This record gives sequence, C-alpha cells and structure tokens, in this order.
Amino acid sequence: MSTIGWRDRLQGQMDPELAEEIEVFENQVELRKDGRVDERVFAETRLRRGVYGQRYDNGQRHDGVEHRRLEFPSGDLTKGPETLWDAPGMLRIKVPWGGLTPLQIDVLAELAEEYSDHVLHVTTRQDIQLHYVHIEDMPTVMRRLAAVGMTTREACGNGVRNLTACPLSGVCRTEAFDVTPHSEALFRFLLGHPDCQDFGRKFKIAFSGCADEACGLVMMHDLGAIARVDVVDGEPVQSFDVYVGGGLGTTPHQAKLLAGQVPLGELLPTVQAVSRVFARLGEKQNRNRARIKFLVSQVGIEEFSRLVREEREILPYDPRWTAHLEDGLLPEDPARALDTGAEDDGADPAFLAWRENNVYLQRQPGYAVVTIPLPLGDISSGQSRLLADVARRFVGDTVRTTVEQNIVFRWVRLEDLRDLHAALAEIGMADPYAETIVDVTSCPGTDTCKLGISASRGLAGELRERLAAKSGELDEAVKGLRIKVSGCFNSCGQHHVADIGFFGNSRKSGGRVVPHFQVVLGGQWQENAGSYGLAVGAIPSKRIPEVVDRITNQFVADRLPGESFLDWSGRTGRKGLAAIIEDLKQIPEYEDDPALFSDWGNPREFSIGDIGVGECAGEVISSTDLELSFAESIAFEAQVALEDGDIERADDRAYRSMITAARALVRTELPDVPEQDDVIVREFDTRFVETKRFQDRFAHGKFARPLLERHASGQSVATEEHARTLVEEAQLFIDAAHACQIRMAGATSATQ
Amino acid sequence: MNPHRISVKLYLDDPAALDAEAVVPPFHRYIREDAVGGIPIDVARYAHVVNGPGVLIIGHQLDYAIDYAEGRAGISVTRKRDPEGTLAEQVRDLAAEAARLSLLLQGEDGIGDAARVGTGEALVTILDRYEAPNDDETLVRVEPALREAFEPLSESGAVEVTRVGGAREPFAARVAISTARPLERWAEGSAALT
Repeated sequence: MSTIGWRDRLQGQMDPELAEEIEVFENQVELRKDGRVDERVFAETRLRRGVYGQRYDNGQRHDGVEHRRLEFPSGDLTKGPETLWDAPGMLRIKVPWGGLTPLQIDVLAELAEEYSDHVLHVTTRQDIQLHYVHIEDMPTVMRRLAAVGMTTREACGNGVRNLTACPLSGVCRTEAFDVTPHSEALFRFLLGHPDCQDFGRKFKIAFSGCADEACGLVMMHDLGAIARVDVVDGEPVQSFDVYVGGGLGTTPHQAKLLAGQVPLGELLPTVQAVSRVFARLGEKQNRNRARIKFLVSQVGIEEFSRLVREEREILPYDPRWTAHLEDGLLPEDPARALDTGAEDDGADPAFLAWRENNVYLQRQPGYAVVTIPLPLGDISSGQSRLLADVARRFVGDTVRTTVEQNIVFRWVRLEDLRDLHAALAEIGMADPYAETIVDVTSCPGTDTCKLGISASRGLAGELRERLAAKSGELDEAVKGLRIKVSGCFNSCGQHHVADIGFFGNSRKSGGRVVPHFQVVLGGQWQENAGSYGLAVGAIPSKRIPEVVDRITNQFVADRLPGESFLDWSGRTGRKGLAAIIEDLKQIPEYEDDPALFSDWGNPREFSIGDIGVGECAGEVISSTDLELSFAESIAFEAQVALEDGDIERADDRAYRSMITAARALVRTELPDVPEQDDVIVREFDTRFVETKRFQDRFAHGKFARPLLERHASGQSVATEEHARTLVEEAQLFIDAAHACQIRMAGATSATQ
Repeated sequence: MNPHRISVKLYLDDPAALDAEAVVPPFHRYIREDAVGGIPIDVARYAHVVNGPGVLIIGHQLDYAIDYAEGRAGISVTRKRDPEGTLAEQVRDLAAEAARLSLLLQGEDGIGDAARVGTGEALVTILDRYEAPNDDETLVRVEPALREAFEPLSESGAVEVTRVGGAREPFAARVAISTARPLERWAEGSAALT
C-alpha cells in the first residue's frame, strides 16, 4: 500500500526524467518476478540504478561449521546470476561532490529506518550506501530520494560513477578556484548521457582545486581535473589540467596528463570526447582489462590524446557545455553572517583537542570548516536527524561528505565554534580525531561485500579503538599518519594512498585458512595521491595491530628531523620495512592459537567459501605450500630490485616468481614436471588456465595473464613502468595460486 | 493498518552491565542453531555508532538487536516482511521475540543477568511514515491495538500508551505496563495468550 501511496504522493516532486527512470525500473522488477526478463538483463538494469548485490546473496552462508542454504520464501527466483531475489542488497546513492542538505539528510535517515538497518554508510567516494534493502523496496526508496534531488542512477554498473571533489572547494586557502560549479555541471551533463552507456567498465571522475594537496585524489581516477589559474596578458585565466587513466584495483596506475590548460568552456566537451573514445575502443569482453587505464596504457597517452582531440572536433555542439558558465558561477553563501568574527578561545581541553584536529580555517576570514568524524563511515538514523538540526542551526545547506568517510560543515563562524562543539558533543559526534591516525578508513569488506576476503571493518574498528585509547601518548609524527584498509585487492579502502595500508587476503596452514592482510607502506596522500605504496608482506589479520605498533615505533625511532613517513619508508626500503614485521608471518598450529584462525569481529572460523565456491578444510600439501612460499620470496626480491632501480632484475625476479608458483600447482598433478619454463607454462596453461581452475570466481582469469604474456614475449621488458606492473602482478599471481590451491583442497576433500 | 515495519523494544534493567560485543558469538550461534525466528542471515556490528542500532541479527523477516537508539539500551525486534495476524498480534509476537532473546542471552556464560529486560515498559515503533506518521491521529488509530497487545501481559490489564518523538521521527508509542506478568509469560506470544 505504501509503495503505491508514495508514488502518488511524490508525483510532481521528482525530476521527470528520474521519475520515468524509476517507473521503468519498477516495471522491470515486476517483469523479472514473473520471469519475463532474463536474469542477466535484469542484473544490468538494477546495477545501472545503484542496486548492488551483497554478501550471501547466492543463498549460501558459511556459519563457521558448514555451508548453509538460506531458504528464502521466493525460492530460486533470482535478480541476477546466482543472486537470489529475497537476498538483501545494497543501494548506493550518489552524492555529487559530496554536497548534502539537512533536508536530504533527514530523508536518508527515514529511508535507513524504514528499509535498511538504521545506518547510513559514507563511502570512500563520497556516496552514501544503505545495506540490507529488499529489491522490491528499491523503487520507493528511489522515489523518496528523487523528491529531494538525489539519485542512484549509474551509481553502480559500467557507467560514470559518483563524481567526487575536494570538500574544501570554494573555501580552501590554497586552491586555484572553486571547482564545485564545474563538477556539478559535469555530473548533470554525464548522468544518463548516451555517450556513456556503452562502457566496458565503470568510470570514476574527480575534481581538485589545487595540485599539491590530497584534494580530490585526481591521480588515482579514470579522469580528473585540477584547477589552475594563469596570468595571460595581465589577467588571471582559469582552466583545468585534465588527467586520464589513473586507478587503483589490482594493478594501480597513475593518471597521465591528457591536456593542460583546458578552458572552462571546453571541459565538458573534452570529457564527452574521452567518453566516446573509451566507449569505442575500450575493452568489452575481458572486464579485467576494461578500465580506461588499460586503454591509455595500451595506446599510449600521446595517441590517446590525439584520438580525443580528433573526436572533439567532430562533436555536435551542445549548449549544455557552457550553460553553467553563462548562468554565472555563484559562490556559496554562508548561512550566518559574521557578528563579532572573533573566536572564543577558552581553555576547555576537550574543545582544544577538537579545535586542533577538526577545524580548518577557511580563506574567508572569520569562517572555518569543521570535520565530524564518522567511525567506519557510519551514522545512525537518529544521529543523522540530530546532525541535520545542528547543520540547520550553524551552517545551513553547506554540508559535504568526504572520501575519508566523514562529514564536514563549511562556513562555520569562528565565534560559533565553541557552541558547535558543545552541540556535537551532546549528540556524541565530537570525537577529536579527524584526519589523524585514529580516523581509519575502511571499505565494507566481509561485513557486506561479496568480494571481501578479510574483515576490513573489523580491523579498522579494532585499530581505531586501540589508537584512540592511546592517542594522548602518540608521537606528533605518528598522529597525522593515515591508515586505510581494504577487504580485498580491489582497493575500495584506497590502501594504496595511505601511509599504512592493508588489503585482505588469506593463507592456508595445517588444513585451515587463515585471514591475512597484505601490508602496504608509503603511499602518498598529497599531490592528489601522487604515488602508491608497495606491499611488504602478508600478516595474519589478528597481528595487524602489532604491525601498526612496530612500524610506527620504528618510524619514531629512526626518523630524521622533519622527515615524513613517506620519506622514511622510502629511505628504509622494502627489505628494512619487511624485516620489522618478518617474524609476524609465522602461523602457529591451530591448537596453539585458534584465535588466529578467525577474523576481527567475527568468531566464526575463517572461510573464504563465502566469496567463492564452497570450500572445506583440506589436507596440507606441504610441498606446494613450500614452493608457494618460495615464490613469494622471489617476488619480494623483485620488489627490492625495483626499489634499487635494477629494472632488468625486477622483471626477471617477477617472472621467476610466477614460474615457481605455477610449477607448484603443476606439481600437484605432475610431480616430475621438468625444470623448463616452456613445459611448466604449457602444463600450467593446459591444466589450470584452460580448465578455468585458476580462475577466481569474480576476477576470472586475469591473474594468469601476466605469466602467459611475459612468457610468450620471451624477453625482458625494458621500462620501469612495465616492470613495476609486472612486480605487482606477480604478487597477485601468487595470491591467486594460494587461492587455487585452497579451492583444490576443498574440492578434493569434498569428493572424499 | 498494514505497516511496512514494526518494532518492539524492551529496555535492559542494567544497561551498563552488557557489553554489546559480548553478544556477537552467541548471535552467530543462534543463526547456526536456528534459535531465532524467521530466516536469520548475518550479524551486523554497529556498537561503534553512538546511540545506534548496536549489534543485530539481520534476518529476512525479523531483525533482532541489542539496540542503543534514543540513548537507552534495550532488546528490540523488528518485523520487516511477511506479517501474520492482526496489528495487536504482530506487536505482541514481537514483544515475545524480544523476551525470548533476553531469556536466551541470560543463559549465556559471561552475559547472564546483564541481558535481563524490564517488563514495565515497552517502546512500539511503526516504521512507515506513509501509513503511520508520528501524530496524534495515528495514535488514535493504533492505540486500541497496542492496548489489546499488552493488556494480557499485565496481571491487572492496566496499560498506558503515550506517543513519543517528533513529526520527523517514525511513529512511536511508549507503553507502560502495570503489574506485568513474568518475562517467561511474555515469551509465549499471541498463541498462548489468546
């Protein structure tokens, strides 16, 4: 009843195009229920509307002892391949450039209560996610969002995802100019644009106001724009440097300069031209090579730029390219005019600690930006409403989400800071840890994501709690470090750009699987995520707090005056960093430390069965374990060689590590396989690649490709970039070999 | 009235005594052993969120929670799908589910009395702003059902129903129960009481 009721009540309050979109989707839901739409078609339909799958949506869950089937009322009806109709799902809501109003927050809180689990989750791309939502409730949720100007359209699927921007845009002390109006115009222009409907993969865009700060993290995006101002004929001229081909994931790429000093009026058509080139030439069949970074890498940035210029020249004119410029770019106004403009600087220690970490002085005198940390990016419905009230009282509509999963209030009068602090403290939202080491970022991981391997949120929560408890004792050099955690190699927690990053993986020991995190050190947050950290070793999940303690203590002990973590980790080198944590890699017998065999916040004995085919604890194949371990050692040598600038050796070691891992797998079936690369690769290809046994259920065959291609080429690659990529891929190849071994052991025991 | 979701919360006698994280292992076990109603799916941990939903067993039809909303700790059960019976029966059955969860947890080592809930007060929330906005008109519509739900749970049959919260919040009514029957009786639900 309320579904129909909301549709009728909200008629006329929604953007007509969005209303029609939702109507179409609602019809698709009904048709799928009746079996009149193919499940694959429906899956793509819902993804393009932000409706995502969630863990256990195949109806299988490992309860710590065995796999259990969830017997939903709708039985085998699906909403996509192996995705049951009744299984709760996630809805991702776009928040372009992070901008929110108190009214929107109110509505989000209502929806979390009525359709989700009373929690709004802010993502690392400024979106908001609702979890555990039933597919049949989605159209009503979408309508209620549309009525306050929000959309889920293209929040998932192979399209233009949420467009992010620096939350300080317009008030930053170092920016060239406010990028907000341009990001809003581009967001509206691309939403549902026909040129963006035929991508092979998702496409993420970010805006930055300046090049040197972290800002919008442009360098890790598919496309990014950095504002600049040049003086031409004595006059300041605004433009954008446009970058393309960045990305994290399993093979991180830094974006490359597509075009410098792009005039404001040329930004939208330039991005449109990029979209057309990507749609036309981007990979479509192999989704693991389909992001634009692979296309840019394949054709080279010069050729890609030429193709974009060529495309731009033939684009039919569109008045929307410049409409936002012609309308005038109005700056955001403060909700409250200054009274005294003076800050009351009392001596309350709680206020002072909060003032030190959570307050940023705007370039506009008398105003500040206040960061409200959300633990793990979560805020309850009740808190959201209270926070909306605080926003109304102090800053009006100038709220934004951040990629660090927090909320900021802009245009806070300095004279209001103490009252704002008191108001936030009253609702339990005045934690003084914004953008400190306590403010750990995490993707959903195994809590809700079907791709998660390890419990990133469990780990992040544990680290947050421990670090908060001793925050007063932390060295000043440590307080400002960033920790970011991803539940798997897909990098949603952005671990590559953290000082201390982690991504989930697993290892097998004594017939059991142990949750691990790969330690990634020395990523660069500044300069728009200017460089990525590199892996120094996989450590059992439960020992990661010890890793943080050791690394930070060593940093404090070793650092030179004024030396950053980035510089220290570079100076210490991979070998030195790895040595700090080397002994933590050892896995004891289960009986000696059973806690190591479960993950943070989850007492079930660890299993990767929830992300792949069902697996049981198999017998240890000791020779395989040893050989895979050996392969890891060789991969580490490759990393060290790369660091030392020995490109040829890095390439050779990376290749040899993959050969060794491949041989380990081949030997499980052909114990006497000769030590000849050709034979090993041929047998590996025949036995594991062609049979798809090496394939990850979600990553498919991508991890085998680097070995096959490198072997087929028959020679060392010459450039540093290729060697760096191969070194990264070698580590992932070995991880995949571990996973393959675990799957094989499961299959073996299942048939016995 | 056929609301989208209904929740009933019983308050912990000694909120400070219960560590929300302590319920995580038994919650996982309850899923494994089918010890709770409906189709339980997973455990969600939100103890880090101030005044939030706490720790939940997320299910297809029912969510069970050690719930910290409104700044008061309690055990809440929310019906999300497949309602059965009248509104009064649905509410009473949710109270029964909350009582059962309290009793289950009280039997856990390391939790015991910390999971004890009072029977003198319950909060009923209707999570459906279209069917049940939080206003006096809704109170008039639902009060008879709430009385019918809780009167059998009182020795004297005396209950008081008061609407709580503002217009932006979901409809909620605080039910005060005089001379309440023991929790074990509550746990029997509608079938035993009618």
